[in-house]
Amino acid sequence: MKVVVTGIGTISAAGNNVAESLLSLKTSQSTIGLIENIKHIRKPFLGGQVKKSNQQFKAELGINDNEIIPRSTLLSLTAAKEAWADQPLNTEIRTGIISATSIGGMELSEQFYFNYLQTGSMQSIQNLAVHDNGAGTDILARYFNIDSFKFTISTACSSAANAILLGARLIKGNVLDRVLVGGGDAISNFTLNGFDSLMIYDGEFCKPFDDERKGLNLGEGAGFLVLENEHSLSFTKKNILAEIKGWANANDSFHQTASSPDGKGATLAIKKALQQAQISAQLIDYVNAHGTATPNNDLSESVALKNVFGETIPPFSSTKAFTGHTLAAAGGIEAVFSVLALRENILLPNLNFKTPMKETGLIPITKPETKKLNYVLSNSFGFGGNSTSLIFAS
Amino acid sequence: MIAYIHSYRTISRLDSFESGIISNLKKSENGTLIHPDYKAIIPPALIRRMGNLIKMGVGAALCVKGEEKIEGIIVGTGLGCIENTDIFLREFIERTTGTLSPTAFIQSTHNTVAGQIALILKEHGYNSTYTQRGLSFENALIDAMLLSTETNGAVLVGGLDEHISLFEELTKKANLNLKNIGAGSSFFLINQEQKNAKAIISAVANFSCNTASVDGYLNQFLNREKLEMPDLILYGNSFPDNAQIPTIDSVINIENYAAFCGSYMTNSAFGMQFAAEILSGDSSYDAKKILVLNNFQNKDFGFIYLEKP
Repeated sequence: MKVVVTGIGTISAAGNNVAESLLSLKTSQSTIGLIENIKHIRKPFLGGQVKKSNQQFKAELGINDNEIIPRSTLLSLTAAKEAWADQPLNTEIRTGIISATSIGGMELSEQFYFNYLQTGSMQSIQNLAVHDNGAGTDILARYFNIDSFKFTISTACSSAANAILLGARLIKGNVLDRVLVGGGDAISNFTLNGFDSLMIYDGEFCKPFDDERKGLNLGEGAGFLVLENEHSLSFTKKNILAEIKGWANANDSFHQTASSPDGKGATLAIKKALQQAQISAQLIDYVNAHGTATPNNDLSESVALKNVFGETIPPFSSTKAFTGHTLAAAGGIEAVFSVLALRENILLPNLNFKTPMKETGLIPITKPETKKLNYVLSNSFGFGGNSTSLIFAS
Repeated sequence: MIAYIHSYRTISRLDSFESGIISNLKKSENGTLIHPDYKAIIPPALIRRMGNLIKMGVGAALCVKGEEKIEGIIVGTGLGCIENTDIFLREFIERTTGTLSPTAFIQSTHNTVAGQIALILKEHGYNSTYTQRGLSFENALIDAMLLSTETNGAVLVGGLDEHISLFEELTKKANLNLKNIGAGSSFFLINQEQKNAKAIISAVANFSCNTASVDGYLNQFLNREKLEMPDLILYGNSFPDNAQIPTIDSVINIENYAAFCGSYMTNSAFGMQFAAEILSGDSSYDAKKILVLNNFQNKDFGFIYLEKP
């Protein structure tokens, strides 16, 4: 049973929709800059922001401005709406929703905490009702009228990739016919201060896979896909954008936050995804790497690429310098980028790269290049050792 | 898609960890958990650095796994590591200058429990974490049954949530009518082997509807899965509100498991062990088919249907 992608939607610093994102990627335009409009920000941080207020999002989505909705959910709704488009409601199609987030309503919880701890004010107590991750998925499920098979995944920076993976498995396992999958995260003081406290937040523009890389820049955004089987397609008559051919989830099992020097989890995830897709490593035409620009991730991922591909590593790049690291959303946004790469036959550029890292000498694609693509691999790794790889086919 | 339950452990307000739920049944609104001696289960050097929820998860999971080979570790948690989330929020709000300690941040991510279990067991297989409010455990269980079916192997699956004093503090200050707030951790080893199984999980589903429609959804579910009307419903509210027991048309027995473990987002995992104990042994409950019916705020419902193996 084939699992195909029939809808894609994304929003991030790279663009407010798929078309804008593609243009940024093709012209190497990044909007990463000083983060603005975050109350109580501790110090200046560079990051990837979507230049739209919550009010604007709500107006565009037809949602009452009084409703308390986390920004991560507004981003998710926007990307999911683009992906879902005019999908028909039909009881003959077993439909589900799998949404991923790591911070949920944290930016609203923070505002309550600041008020409460500093003045004892209970004014924004209602914010806590949407603190948890599932609150956003509830809003999404209601928005799209999906009344069963509702899931929220939170596996840190691999979350949305695991949402896509579960969607593919539920279709393959004949549990569902159609599923809306992806993830969204906003920027919060919690994550800015968290990554800063770990000393992996770069004060300059992030430099994935560069020898001088210092760390990540956070970003906000969302990426969603619609996956369908043939039964669903017979009703929806949607065009097939790509096939999801391989998927695998493994655990690095090395350290709570750091990746192993031998890239064990990443290697396993890529190898198992190739097995699942039943294709040889040589057939991969492009790798959209996790490439967060932290010293640790990029080394571990580079070692994993060498483990799997040997000396002939396919063209690869990280698109984090366009979006910032969007945490739980990254796997969704990069899945959309991977489908775009396949559709447009284009290798996406890795910005801010100058010097290959000493340990591996790997050089990513630094300028957009045209190439016929048949198979694209997308990697997502996270805290807790979570490692997920997806393979999309044209 | 089915799976067999082979072992389980629950940490709850009952003395359930060693001797199970049924032999310790006692209705209580005292939410204090009875923890096992973690030092006997987890390497002591690691315990010191573990948050409460992580201990509860790792403790139960290690005992359930034993020497079995597993294909994956899947966890459901409604609120995740809320204790460490609270600590890190206070850390950066109250410490306005200087550098911040990353310890609480590291332990605040929802997947910390599943990650730590993998780390201690040196497991490199499938690993995932679900956080769908009152349906978090049902989410995890569906994935676990799918993984067990795909691999024809065993999967470690659990549901857990912790309690922090801020809940009561805010409930009181905001005059919220919340009651019987609970916490707990339940883990299971499931696989595809009928031999020596304690119970079979015949089907799992979740639905969003109002309470009046549950009967209709239940009939649809039973028809679709080709299952008979259960002879016992184990019912629980997974949010500490006054959500109502849905009216089920056919006359069947209902036992309220939340009265024993309190209301928390993953208490259907407690309900599932309760059901497995009834189906696997002698008790005053006479049931061969049990539905664990989980009600989250009168709008989300989880169904876990279990039978004698």
